[in-house]
Amino acid sequence: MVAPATATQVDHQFFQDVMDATPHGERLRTCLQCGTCSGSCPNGPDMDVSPRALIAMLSSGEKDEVLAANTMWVCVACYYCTERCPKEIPVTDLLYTLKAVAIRENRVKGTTAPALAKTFVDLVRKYGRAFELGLASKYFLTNKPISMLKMGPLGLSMFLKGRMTLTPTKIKGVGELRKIISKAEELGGKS
Amino acid sequence: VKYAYYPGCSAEASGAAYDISLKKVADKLHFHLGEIDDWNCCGASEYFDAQDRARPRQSVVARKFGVGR
Repeated sequence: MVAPATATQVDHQFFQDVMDATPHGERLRTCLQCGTCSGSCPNGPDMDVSPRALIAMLSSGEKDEVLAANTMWVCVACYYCTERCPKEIPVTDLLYTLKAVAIRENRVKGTTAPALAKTFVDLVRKYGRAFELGLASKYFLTNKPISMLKMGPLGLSMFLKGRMTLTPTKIKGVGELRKIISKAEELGGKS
Repeated sequence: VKYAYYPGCSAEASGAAYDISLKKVADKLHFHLGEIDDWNCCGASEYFDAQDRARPRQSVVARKFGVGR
């Protein structure tokens, strides 16, 4: 006897929740499936689900498949898809919403992107500005110590070309910034 | 023409080439770029949620500098 194929769990509320959580998210309903977003994406080849397909899956209520895709973690936020979308759909912002949902629902797999973001945000809280050397060393030491060795020569050549600073810049008003960040977190934001 | 210039963290390091070329072009075109005092990180692409949280201070700093609304 052949077991019946398991039907995919359909969750239409998820589509509505994602639209509500994304500024101008209601425009997702107008998607033409033209694929301009996917064709514009510089990182498209590394995505297991293209932005166009992701929107189709989302509007069909395929929550589990959407959150299992690597699309949002491969996105570098260049906003080219958003710029070119004929329906002015905020594709990049949609991906930000999906990152936040995946983190909140503990569904992050196969990426260290949230760890990189956390390291980044901690450094900004400390200094008020990003500090690339600190970010790279802390992130690699904690998450990918072996890869750190490979990054050495790149770091050195960046330093020699004046593209890497050895010390962080701390802003005078870092206390003000920390207060704003804490308040935003209190209001429900997460890094 | 005077512009308030917000470079951003990358312009101090990995993206320094953009900072250099922008300043050269601005000079040729007689745009005066005044760097905003004590600017902070914009959050870039690494703030996954509440993306706007680092920005309010920026607009206050810019206003003190004499630009912005």
